[in-house]
Amino acid sequence: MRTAFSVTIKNLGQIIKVKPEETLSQALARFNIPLRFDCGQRGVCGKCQVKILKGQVNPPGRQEKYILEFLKVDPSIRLACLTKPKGDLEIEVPSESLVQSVKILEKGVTTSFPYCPSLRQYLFTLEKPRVSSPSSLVERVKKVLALPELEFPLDILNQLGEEARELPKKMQLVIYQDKEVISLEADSSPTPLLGLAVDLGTTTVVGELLDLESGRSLAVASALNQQIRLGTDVITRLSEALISEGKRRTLQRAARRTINALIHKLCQKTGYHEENILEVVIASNTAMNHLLLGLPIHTLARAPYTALFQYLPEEKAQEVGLRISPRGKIFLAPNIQSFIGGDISAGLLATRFFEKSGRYLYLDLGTNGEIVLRNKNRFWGTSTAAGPAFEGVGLSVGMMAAPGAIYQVSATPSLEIKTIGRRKARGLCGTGLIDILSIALQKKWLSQNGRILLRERQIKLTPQVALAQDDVRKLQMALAAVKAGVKIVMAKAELDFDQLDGLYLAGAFGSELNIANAMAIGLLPAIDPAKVYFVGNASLAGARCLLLNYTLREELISQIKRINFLSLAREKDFQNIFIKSLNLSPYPEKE
Amino acid sequence: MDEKQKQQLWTKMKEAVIKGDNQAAVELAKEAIQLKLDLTETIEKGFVPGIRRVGQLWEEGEYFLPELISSAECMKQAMAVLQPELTKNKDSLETKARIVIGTVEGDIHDIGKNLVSSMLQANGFEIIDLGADVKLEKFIATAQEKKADFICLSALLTTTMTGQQRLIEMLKEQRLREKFKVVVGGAPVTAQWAESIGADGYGENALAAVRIIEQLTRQRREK
Repeated sequence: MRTAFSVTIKNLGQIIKVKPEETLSQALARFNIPLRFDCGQRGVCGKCQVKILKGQVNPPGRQEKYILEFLKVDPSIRLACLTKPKGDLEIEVPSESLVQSVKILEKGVTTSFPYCPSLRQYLFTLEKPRVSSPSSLVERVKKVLALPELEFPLDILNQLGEEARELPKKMQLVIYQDKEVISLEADSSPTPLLGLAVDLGTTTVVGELLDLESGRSLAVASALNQQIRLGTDVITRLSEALISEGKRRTLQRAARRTINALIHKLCQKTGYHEENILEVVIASNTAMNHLLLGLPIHTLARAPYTALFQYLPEEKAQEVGLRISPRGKIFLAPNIQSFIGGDISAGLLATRFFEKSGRYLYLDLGTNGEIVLRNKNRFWGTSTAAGPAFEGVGLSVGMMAAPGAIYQVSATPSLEIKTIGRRKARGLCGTGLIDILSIALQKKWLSQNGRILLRERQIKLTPQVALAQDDVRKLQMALAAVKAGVKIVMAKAELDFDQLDGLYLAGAFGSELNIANAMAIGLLPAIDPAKVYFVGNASLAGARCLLLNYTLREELISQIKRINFLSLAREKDFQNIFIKSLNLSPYPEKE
Repeated sequence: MDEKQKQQLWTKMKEAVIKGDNQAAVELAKEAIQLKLDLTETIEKGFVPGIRRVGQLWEEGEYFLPELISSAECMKQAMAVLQPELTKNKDSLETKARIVIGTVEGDIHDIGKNLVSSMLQANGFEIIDLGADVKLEKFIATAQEKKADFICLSALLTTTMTGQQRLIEMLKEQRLREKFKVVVGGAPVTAQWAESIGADGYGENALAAVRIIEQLTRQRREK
């Protein structure tokens, strides 16, 4: 008998030694080849497929045959955890069989994480019981799957009983987090396991449909939050909800309808059925998640702005009214505190904020500006009421980033503008506003205190679009709110700006934001521009992380407890710092 | 000191307030005391025109919050020098009205309210500032105790501005509505809101608040 066989992995260009009696999966694991064993090498998930190119192996047993037939794979495919070589081999490990690292952010920080979804499908044959060991069907399923704690809801139990009229039978079980049976089928065809990541924003809602077996993104869709007609900002909606329980329910229905419409759109795009979606993860601010659940918000609406909950276990999606599989689950990214919600915790997760040590600032700029700072092992977080000016709301020339919005202005030296969709300019959106402020300062059309110095008291971009004095004042206030917040948080952490290792920018401003201009007017601190990372929709990315790896949920819940919450209004110097920050000038100020 | 010299001094005082030059304002106030000038006249013809001009510059868009605050601070420092002398001479500057001001309960934002407070003070009103997150009962109790003329309520959130409405209802319930003028303000507050809750006045900004309160004070006297 040979002491080892040599197995050549063609596609990886690697040769490994396999001991007799050792399975291919054990050998691959020994050589650190990251093969997928969703079931932990129990031969019930069918994920560790390898292709045998040359050489002899043991013939497949009944269980393996069942899985291979069920999954309709090529005859040369075998399951590594059930296959032992009988001589030297040549094999191929398809990329689908390797543990996928899921890329988190499209841009900014390129990080990835191992993949571990809540839902797994297990395939096995339920044998005919023998008189000699008449243990219950449930106990036998638990034994086959090696999941002694597995829970069977009553209706699943009923199904199991019905199916057991005739045994043996080929079963397909979908199990949630290795503890609860979600669905049970017999002799059916493979069903897709889908998940949905949602960024439930105050204005925009984005949904991404994902295949939970491969981690692949299937489609992305977005829609306006239907709550908008009940108020454009969070506080207005909270005050609506305060009026009566009826109003609260109306807001809940609007949020629910928005998500359900997105689900419908995504299913139409991809040809899948709503029932195929088994889990939804939602990243949203504190007000949005309270309203979606239809919870009372009295404590959140008034000082000291206390949320009803910080985090919840997974709930039944049906109870929240989401139209997915009746057994589907919903998980909400945990709220950090008060108005620093799950949208921020998700964003922090996506940027791996808690992992790498160092000094980092995370800024999410929207109607509410959220600021989280890490100084090595200490964390601070705050939220600052910037108002909607950055989104172009409330300004005479402002508009959301929609066709016709000026998103870029340059001075070459005459003013040149770029509009979204190359349409005729209708107004300015956030990035365009930042550009024109900076250019006007440079050209001395604007003084640092925000006074328009031109005789016509406005800054004309086109015959129709002109920035008025009052617009500048509103932008100054929004800028000062963020600037003061950042300054106070940095001071609390006793940190100088040049000590920062990086600044993550999420939220309203896309990568079209001109960093130099943003620094010139004091929207961003003047640090090395190479240290500024646009992270785009980090909330959605975070929701995707939580969906594709459920073990991150508990981890995130424990990490966010490290953040010290700061209430700016309670800070003694806030007013002084805010007033000083109104100047349109770079910060930190040079000595 | 002849009239021309006085005029020159007043112009300097006015300029100091407009520029927000605390040091100059304090020096000028001391000079007025040394020269044994009529201090009431000094204030009214020197410093007050300064703060009035600041108000104009604000309305014209020339000045913004930082300038407004530094001018109000400048005024306050000059008054701090003059006040003890006025008291010593048993001369008292006529207080236009006594005002109880604060941000309503449930709301911790107070920058806007502080500004209104400073501007009112700079314009010669007596201010009792209760701070932020103030219980509605406390506004009424203080106003009664101090025999105030006005209750000014700030609210920065749509969720808390209902406190302004509630206070007016409470005044009515306690048959005190006629005793105090109620003026409201804050970012989400509008003239329509003020009218709908039956407030006596509304200030869109600090200067507008001063204007409406001055107007209401005059009306009150004329009665």
